[in-house]
Amino acid sequence: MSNRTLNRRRLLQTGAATGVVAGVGSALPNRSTFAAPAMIQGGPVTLRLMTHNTLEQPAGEFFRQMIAEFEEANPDITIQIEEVPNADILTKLTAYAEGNDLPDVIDGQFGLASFVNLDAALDITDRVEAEGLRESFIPVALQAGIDGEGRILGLPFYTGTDALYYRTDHFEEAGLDPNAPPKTWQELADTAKALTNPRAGRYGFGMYGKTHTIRVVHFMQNNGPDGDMLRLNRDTGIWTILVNSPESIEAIEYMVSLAREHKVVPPNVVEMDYPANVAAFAAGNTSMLTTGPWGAQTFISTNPEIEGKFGVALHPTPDGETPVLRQGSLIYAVGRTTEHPDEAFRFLKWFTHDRQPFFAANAKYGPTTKAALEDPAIAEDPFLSVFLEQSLSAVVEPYEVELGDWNRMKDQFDPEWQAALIGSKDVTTALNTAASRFAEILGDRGELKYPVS
Amino acid sequence: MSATSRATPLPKRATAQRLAPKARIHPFLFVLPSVVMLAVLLALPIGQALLRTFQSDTGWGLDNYVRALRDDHLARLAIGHTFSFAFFSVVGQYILGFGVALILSGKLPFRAMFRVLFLLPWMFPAVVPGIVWRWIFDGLFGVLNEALYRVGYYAETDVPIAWLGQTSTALGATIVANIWRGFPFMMILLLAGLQAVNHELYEAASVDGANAFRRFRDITLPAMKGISFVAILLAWIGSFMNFAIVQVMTAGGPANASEVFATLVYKNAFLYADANYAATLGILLLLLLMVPGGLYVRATIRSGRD
Amino acid sequence: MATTAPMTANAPSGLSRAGKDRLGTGVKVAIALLLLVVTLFPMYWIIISSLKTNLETHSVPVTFLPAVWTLDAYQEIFERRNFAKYLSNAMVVAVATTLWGVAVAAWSGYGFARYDFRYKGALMAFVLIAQSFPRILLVIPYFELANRFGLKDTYLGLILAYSTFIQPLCLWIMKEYFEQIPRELDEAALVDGATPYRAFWDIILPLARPALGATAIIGFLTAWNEYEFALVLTTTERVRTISVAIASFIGEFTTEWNLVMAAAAVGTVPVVIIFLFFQRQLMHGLTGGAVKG
Repeated sequence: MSNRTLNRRRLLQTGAATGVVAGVGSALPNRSTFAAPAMIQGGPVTLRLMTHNTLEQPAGEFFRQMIAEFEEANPDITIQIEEVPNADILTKLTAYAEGNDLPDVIDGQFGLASFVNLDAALDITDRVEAEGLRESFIPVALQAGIDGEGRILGLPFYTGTDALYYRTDHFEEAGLDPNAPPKTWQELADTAKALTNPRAGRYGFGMYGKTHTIRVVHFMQNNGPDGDMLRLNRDTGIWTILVNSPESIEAIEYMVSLAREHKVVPPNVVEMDYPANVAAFAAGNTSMLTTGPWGAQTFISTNPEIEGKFGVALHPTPDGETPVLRQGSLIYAVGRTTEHPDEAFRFLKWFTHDRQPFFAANAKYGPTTKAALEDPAIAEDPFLSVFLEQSLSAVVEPYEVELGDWNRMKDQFDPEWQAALIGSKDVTTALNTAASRFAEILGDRGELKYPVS
Repeated sequence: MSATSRATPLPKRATAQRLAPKARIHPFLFVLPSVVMLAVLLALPIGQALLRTFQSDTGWGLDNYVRALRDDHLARLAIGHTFSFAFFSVVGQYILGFGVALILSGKLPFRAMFRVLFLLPWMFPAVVPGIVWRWIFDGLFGVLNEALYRVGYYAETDVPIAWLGQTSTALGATIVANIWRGFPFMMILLLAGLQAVNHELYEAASVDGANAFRRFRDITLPAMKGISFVAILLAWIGSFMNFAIVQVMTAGGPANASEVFATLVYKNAFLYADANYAATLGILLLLLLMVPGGLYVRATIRSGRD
Repeated sequence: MATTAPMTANAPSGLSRAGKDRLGTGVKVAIALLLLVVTLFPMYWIIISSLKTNLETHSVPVTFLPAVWTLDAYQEIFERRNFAKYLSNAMVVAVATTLWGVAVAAWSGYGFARYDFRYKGALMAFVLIAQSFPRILLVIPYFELANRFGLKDTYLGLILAYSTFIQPLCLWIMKEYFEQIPRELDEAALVDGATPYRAFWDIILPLARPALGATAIIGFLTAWNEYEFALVLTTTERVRTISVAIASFIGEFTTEWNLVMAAAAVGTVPVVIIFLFFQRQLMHGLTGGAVKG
């Protein structure tokens, strides 16, 4: 217990260490727009909220409940929910941004860089500072909403790293100790081999071969200093391309070996997007899977019978050391064209900040506020505590937040990753190709560190 | 006499003139509602898109076209895939659609019910065909692999094929789905066309001792030429622009093996926020489509002039 | 006027002939059934999957019949979503687009089919360009226009957007069918002193019934199935159509396949029923309206 408390204190401080944007917003302009209480504006207000969260199970119900509570507490404000399927949020946002008709509060499921590309989000730095909110968010979560110039454009609704989920019942069936999940890569491969039984449609490890391939970064990052996609030099603004570093290549070779040599990954891995992996784990077709804190409730809602039959452990690393992982957050922003910035911000603050502990405690999506960490339902949750521990050393990858071209670059990496997985290219060739494509896109904003041929 | 009247010795030019002896305004009064409406609704967006294609970060110029035609390896790849996708889809749809239309045009018990049921693949809202076929082809819990196990094609220990997860079959699988989805369109057009074929000609041919194949070749096919041309053209346009099936089934993967033009336009417009380049790809797609379209317009004008 | 004409082809003219016909019919039925089985298998899969639990939809080994039959998916989609509204929205938009599209297409298609006039090639090329312009690129401009003219989230906004591709589609089809109708018929009417418009309305249009039916079916289904415009131009339940509602079950973290399949079935069965109900009217043209010279 004391260990956990200590961890929590460290977590609260890591902001300074990762401190990408320390001391922004220090110059607080003295504008009256936010100084005046918002209630003064007369007449009822309707806010448009664009979200995919209300469509998710079970998070949607808690989110709806929070919205209803907000409307009750603020009788002058009505929230009009515009539910958009996850895959189509960016389509709608693009159209809305071009048409200058943005919703008042917007789901940033596609990452901050797209908000910046489309100039879709209102700068809320001043409002956040005025209410002293910067200090009450967990720094690594808040960072997902801060752009390259240090402006706060969004607030995190939930956050998390990836940890290893494993089926304890499968471990027992295979004669493995369910209290000793794999820590090293070697152990991961051995455990996965022991769990794999193709005839029963069971594979030891689930991997993201179609979408969310960014999750392979977790393997690159822990394999040495140059294991990553890119690194930003803040002084020069130049992105160093690391996707074909020896460390990155070795990490991908390890993952590919799981699929091709050891055959512990479903044979159709390149068809498997996020929902397919969740479904495969919940149905027992895979025995281990790495994903974020939202995984637990999602598995249970998919298959209620697996409640109590899976555990969560730290993400495996090459030699079993504590992992350094990228932290991903879902941010929400206020639409740039909103006519009701005060009300929109009040609502945004309500659900991302004031009531976030409620959401984190019930939906078990990772907490974003320091207050949530004090909630025993969160701090003592056996799963969430693992993620909190990982968050201590987690980082926000600047390219996911600040690099406007990241979506395009990711789509250059994915096919190479798939080519390596299906064996149509060897890993080195594939990653060198990815590196040269990165270099093409970045132009003089990027530099290759390792030769591509 | 019915469709074959086009082959009668009456010169077409003369006919056209006799139809409109005085007022040259008549044809325009007929075609203008359609043309004006399309012009009002589309001139602006198309013009806008065309302008965008000449705009890039570096100012005005042909940068986007150079990029698409010279630098973008995906665009090159997508052109080939789009052609294969459209070609095999249309061939499959036409053969299947014609076959079913032939069966349904004659005497058949429960014909009305058959007609509705054969339309079913086309009655599903956009995303559904892709979802269902992705599911049928799924490498883990796909029903196709399960069926192949049950008929003994796979041994019990074989690792099933990931149809959508290997470069050699992914595009083919999307084509199968698209044929399934699109053949009712052909069927309904050809069925209506078959009804217009003069049945007395069949009678006469039968009396002359022509067998079914010859009747088909000498009477049915020539009579169906015009409607076939249109049906193929429209199906070609539809397949060339198809987005939903490929996006839902493979999203262009694996390793770009099923990347088509429409998914590329979509990605540039909506995922990369690169409207200028998306417009350029769109205009190129349009130009490629205008090749068969232009042939059609020429053929129509010709047949009116000859 | 010619409802009985095509049957003459199958009239028995001798015993052996009749026997041959019966054999031919049997073969035809067999082939039709076989094709139907292949065609309908995905439909079978949709319905069967909608009756499974979500877990069973992706369990291995695959089950061809549900191990546990359940109507939960249907109950849930009707509780969670206003499906009746989505269906009626889609119906209003598709019917309006079809009526409007077929009317304009028939009128203008006749002009293109029958007349040779200056700029004909250019105008046809324009219609073809309009139709071939990638729809995905129209989504954003249309949103801007709809927003400017207050047509966002309205039936009219969707109907206008759909018209841009459904109307040219119908136009080409109508044009082609008109060309199959002998010109002598129009000419006879003109000689009798009718205006071209009268000739079109009184003589040609009734003959084009098979074409009108086929074109209406094509227009209706194209509109019914549309997704991109429906996604972007609608923002509330008021106008949201069935295709968008179905997609909303495909989630970020999970996809409840049984719900997706139930939604797909619910979104399709009404069309089947309508087609069966109206098939006489819609397909009457197809079955009986052979053109007589």
